[in-house]
Amino acid sequence: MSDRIDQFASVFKAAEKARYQYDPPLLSRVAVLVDTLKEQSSAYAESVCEFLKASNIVADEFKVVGAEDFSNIRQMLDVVHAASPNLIVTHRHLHLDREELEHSLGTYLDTLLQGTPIPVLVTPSPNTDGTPKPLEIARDVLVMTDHLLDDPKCINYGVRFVAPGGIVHLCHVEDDAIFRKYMALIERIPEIETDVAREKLRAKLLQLPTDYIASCIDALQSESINATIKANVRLGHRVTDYHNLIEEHAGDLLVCNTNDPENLAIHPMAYAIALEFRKQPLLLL
Amino acid sequence: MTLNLQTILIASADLHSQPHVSSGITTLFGVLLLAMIACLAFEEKLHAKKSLITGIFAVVCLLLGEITGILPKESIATIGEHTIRLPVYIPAIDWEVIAIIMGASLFVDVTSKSGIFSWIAIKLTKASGGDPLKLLIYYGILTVIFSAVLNNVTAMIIIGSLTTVSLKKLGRSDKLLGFLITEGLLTNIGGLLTLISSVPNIIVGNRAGISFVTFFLKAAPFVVVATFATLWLARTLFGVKRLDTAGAKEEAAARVASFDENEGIPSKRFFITSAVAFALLIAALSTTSILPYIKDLGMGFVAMSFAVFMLIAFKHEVNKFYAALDWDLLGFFASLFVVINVMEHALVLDAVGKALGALLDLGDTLGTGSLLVTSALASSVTDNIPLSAVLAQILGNHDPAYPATSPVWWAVVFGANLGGNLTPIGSASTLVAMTVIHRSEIKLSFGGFVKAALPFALVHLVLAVAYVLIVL
Repeated sequence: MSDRIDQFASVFKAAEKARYQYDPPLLSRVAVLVDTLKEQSSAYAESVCEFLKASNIVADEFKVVGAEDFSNIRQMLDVVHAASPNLIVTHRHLHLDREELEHSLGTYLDTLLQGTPIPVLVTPSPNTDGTPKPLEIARDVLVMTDHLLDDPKCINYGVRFVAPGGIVHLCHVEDDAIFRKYMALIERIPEIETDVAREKLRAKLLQLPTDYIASCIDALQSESINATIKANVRLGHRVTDYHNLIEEHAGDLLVCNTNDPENLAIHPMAYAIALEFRKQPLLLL
Repeated sequence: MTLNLQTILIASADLHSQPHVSSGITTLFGVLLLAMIACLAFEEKLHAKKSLITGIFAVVCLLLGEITGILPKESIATIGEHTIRLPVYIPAIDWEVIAIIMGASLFVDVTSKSGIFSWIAIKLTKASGGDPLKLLIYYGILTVIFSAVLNNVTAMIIIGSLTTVSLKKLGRSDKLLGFLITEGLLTNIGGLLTLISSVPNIIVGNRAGISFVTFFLKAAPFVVVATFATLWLARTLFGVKRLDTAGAKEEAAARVASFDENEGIPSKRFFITSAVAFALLIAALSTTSILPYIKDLGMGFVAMSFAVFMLIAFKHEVNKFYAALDWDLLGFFASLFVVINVMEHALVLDAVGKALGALLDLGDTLGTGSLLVTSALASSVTDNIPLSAVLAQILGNHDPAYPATSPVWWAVVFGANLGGNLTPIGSASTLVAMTVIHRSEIKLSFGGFVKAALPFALVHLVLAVAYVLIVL
């Protein structure tokens, strides 16, 4: 009897699908954090402003926080708290020697990501003379996640940041290593038919985000959003696959979630992406 | 060998020419019958399946029957010029009943793969807009309809599973217990609707010679009244209310809107085929008694034919469906019929019939009413299938014969079905309801179920007695 109850319970659970609803984020107050004096960072601030404007993001308050405003982490947090922005724009390695720290984001950015709930747009670091590296208009935005269904926030920001007529690539990469680990266990359980389990598990893992993306497309069409949504759902190695996806789609902006509900540290996948992809702007939520 | 089907004759045991049976032998077999019924009542405690319990008793009864010399030496089937000798236990089994159950089970198993039942259930869930009272009414009516066209267990599994998922989704898990109890009770109401809705109906209806259409027309008014009485009582006792604010309605509607009714449909073509086949099966069963050729082959043939045609959709994997058949149930029926046949030869049924006669001698009103209530009480503590099989056999052997229109048949049908609502072990579907309740981590004891179900069961019995005595 139990197996028949399971059978129908599975059908109904599978029929219960998460549906996306577009909830555009508020971006009325933007704070740009730099480690140089404000007057030396005007070019950087201007490039940020242009980048945002190209996506129809025009802040009511656009504040530049320079080296004269903070010289340690506590001061930075106080300034951010006082400004209470909806978006922080900064770059890696604030107040640090950028050449020596390729394998770190820098303690300031680490703290911003974990110590505040405010989304951070991380741009490529300016040149040593303070001139900014050019920011491409966000025509191709890659939203990268390993749990798309739980991340409507990532999609909302991706859609909000894409330039009119651009493409939002919703990417979901299931970790192949974890899949193989579970399959290795299933292979040792005689009651479970391995080939059937492999096929069904794989199909279901990929079907859930695919269905969710379909609901995103429906929801965004009903909101008349001027952007194309494309699905990229696969099983693979996350960093490698994201690398391929970014190269394949020439991503102008990468969006991912940094919050790991399990611990205080930045979500491992987001951290890996933030370290790996330094030439594109990253929107870390 | 050319078989002329029209000349098949089964020479079953001639009871009037059987050897003398002493009262000691009758008592011995009577004790065996009681022991079997007791074992079936404690099936869960014994950790033994029904088919094994009745199988053991069938073997013991046959052996003792042979040793005591109460069984006929042989049964003979003549096919044209040919004579076939059959062991006594072969004609003892009502193969028509077995064919109906096997055919209907296979048919339902195959068609359920089309996703038709989950599609209907999810469509209704969405139509309710997530309103708890509407859900209770929709699920209640669906339970009755599913119980009527499927078997009660499958109906309870489908509706119980969906109820668990949808109430959780709506954040109304506090109402789950009330919903599941109501649905469990409604399966036994829905099980009264047609001749094939439950096994007691098949056994008694077949024995009485009640046609599919007559059964439906006579049972339907009661089912409608009892369903709405149950839903009204459930609403009152379990405090199921409508959503009263626009915000709550909007949120609930959004939550149920996320169900995708097409999820369980593997192929649209198969889905449509199944829906059409279901309608045709109901039509064929309804007209079996008047269709040329088919009327001689019976409802078992109709059910098996539809099952075979539906299996074409899975022609390479039919073995999966054969494996999924409830062989325990089929084995149970087969061995039960054998036991009852031996009891007939041992004159146990005569003895029970005399006691039953005393009950019926109380008069048309009191006698029939008492038979209904007694049947209900008996089937609340043990399986209603042996009960209905024994009573059907006794009533069928009654001299003068009860016509198909007699209310006594209905007293057995109503009593056997509704008795299941008194206790969680009274019917297989209430047992499923208990299983779903426990899987949802809701604590409900045997006594807790009886306490919750008693008001419903009493209302059902009062309505049934009134209906059988006044209307039928």
